[in-house]
Amino acid sequence: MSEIELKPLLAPAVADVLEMMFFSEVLGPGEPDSNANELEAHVAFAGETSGKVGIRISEPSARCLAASFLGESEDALTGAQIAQVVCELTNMLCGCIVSRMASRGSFNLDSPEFIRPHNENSTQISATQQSFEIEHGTLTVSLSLSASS
Amino acid sequence: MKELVIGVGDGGVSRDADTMLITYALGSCVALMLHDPVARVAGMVHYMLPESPESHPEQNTRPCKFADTAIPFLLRAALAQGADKRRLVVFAAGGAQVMNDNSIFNVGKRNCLALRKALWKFGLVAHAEDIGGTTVRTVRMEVGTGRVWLQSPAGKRWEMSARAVRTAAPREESPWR
Amino acid sequence: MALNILIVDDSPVMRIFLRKVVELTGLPVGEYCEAGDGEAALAALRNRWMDLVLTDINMPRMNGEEFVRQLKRDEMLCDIPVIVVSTDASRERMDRLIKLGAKGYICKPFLPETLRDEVEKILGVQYV
Repeated sequence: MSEIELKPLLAPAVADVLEMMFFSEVLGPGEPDSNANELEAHVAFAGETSGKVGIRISEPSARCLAASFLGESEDALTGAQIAQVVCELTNMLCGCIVSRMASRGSFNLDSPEFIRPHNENSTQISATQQSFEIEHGTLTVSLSLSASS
Repeated sequence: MKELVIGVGDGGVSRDADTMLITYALGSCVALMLHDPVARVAGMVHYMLPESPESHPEQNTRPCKFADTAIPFLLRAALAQGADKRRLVVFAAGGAQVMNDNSIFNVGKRNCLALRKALWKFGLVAHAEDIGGTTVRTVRMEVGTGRVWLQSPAGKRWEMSARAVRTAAPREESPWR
Repeated sequence: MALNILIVDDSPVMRIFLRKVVELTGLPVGEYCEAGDGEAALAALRNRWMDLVLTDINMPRMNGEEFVRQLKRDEMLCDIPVIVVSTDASRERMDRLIKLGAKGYICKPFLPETLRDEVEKILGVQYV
């Protein structure tokens, strides 16, 4: 599948996941900020199509979404909980995107992999990607397919 | 029946079974209503915006203006009047996209999301909602019965139905025990 | 009679979310048990009776589908109702799990009240 076919899958998945599970929304198109303190996670999937979905999210946004998801105040959260919520967000986005992509057949998702706060050494995924402005920062979602897909 | 009018950015609680709580002209604003059918406590708040200003959270003298302060305010007030959180029936109305809302940020939708976020923090979800769309709503809630009616500017009136009183326990014998 | 609920998901925060959803029902819960995969879930079920299981599919060690398969093969455990809560929205997976004996299947993302209603339906909560 080409980027033209893949890119339209991202925005609806982000909107659905943020609204239903995080009581939040996309505010508009965003710009990835390489200077920002960002958290990152990936989920690999395999099935009729295989590949990986990754996200990078501004730390304040991650904290805000984690508080919403868990029904807690932001200052009551631990770093571990925020990381786990980022992983679960990635997991749900992956499931949502792949469900829209695969017309039939089930798929398997690996456990999410949390990357330490974004730095120069983190994996740069050459992939279809889109950035979204969300509360307190930016969410960038990337989708890459395996060569055989 | 006596009427207790809840104004824009205001809230109130009552235990008087002869009272009707009313709020008018819900555009992008949201009305949250709570009812405890056993304690016969009812409350309503009409909030305008999703979040109170960060700069002066302690000095917010109008807690009912913002979802994140209005909802805790209403819950505390209802509990203080004898309501039990586990029995509360929750209604929500409003959050419309009004015709003159040309802002990029759709206040009505943001108010609806803020409602869900604030309720979730308290372990609650609305039992019935009449939200979104473009209709401006007027809401009435009967304190004694917890019944809620909506009305449009054209005069059309309809009742919101939450699920009726639920039996407190699941069936007595689970066949797998 | 208080209920025991088993929540099976490899995400600790998702287990918190699911517990909050069950609490929306207002049903009397005696104990919440948690497991991070199917193997741990089966071990938990052999130690303590559960009235309801909520399970994810994609988990390490033993995934949710294999967990439900083994649960339903066990004479002592096969009648415990199971609701699957998963990102996998494929018709194939759903049909397989229902055929294996799952009572419900909720796709993530979901509105909390959707799962709340499913839990109430399966536990036989009646409205008058």
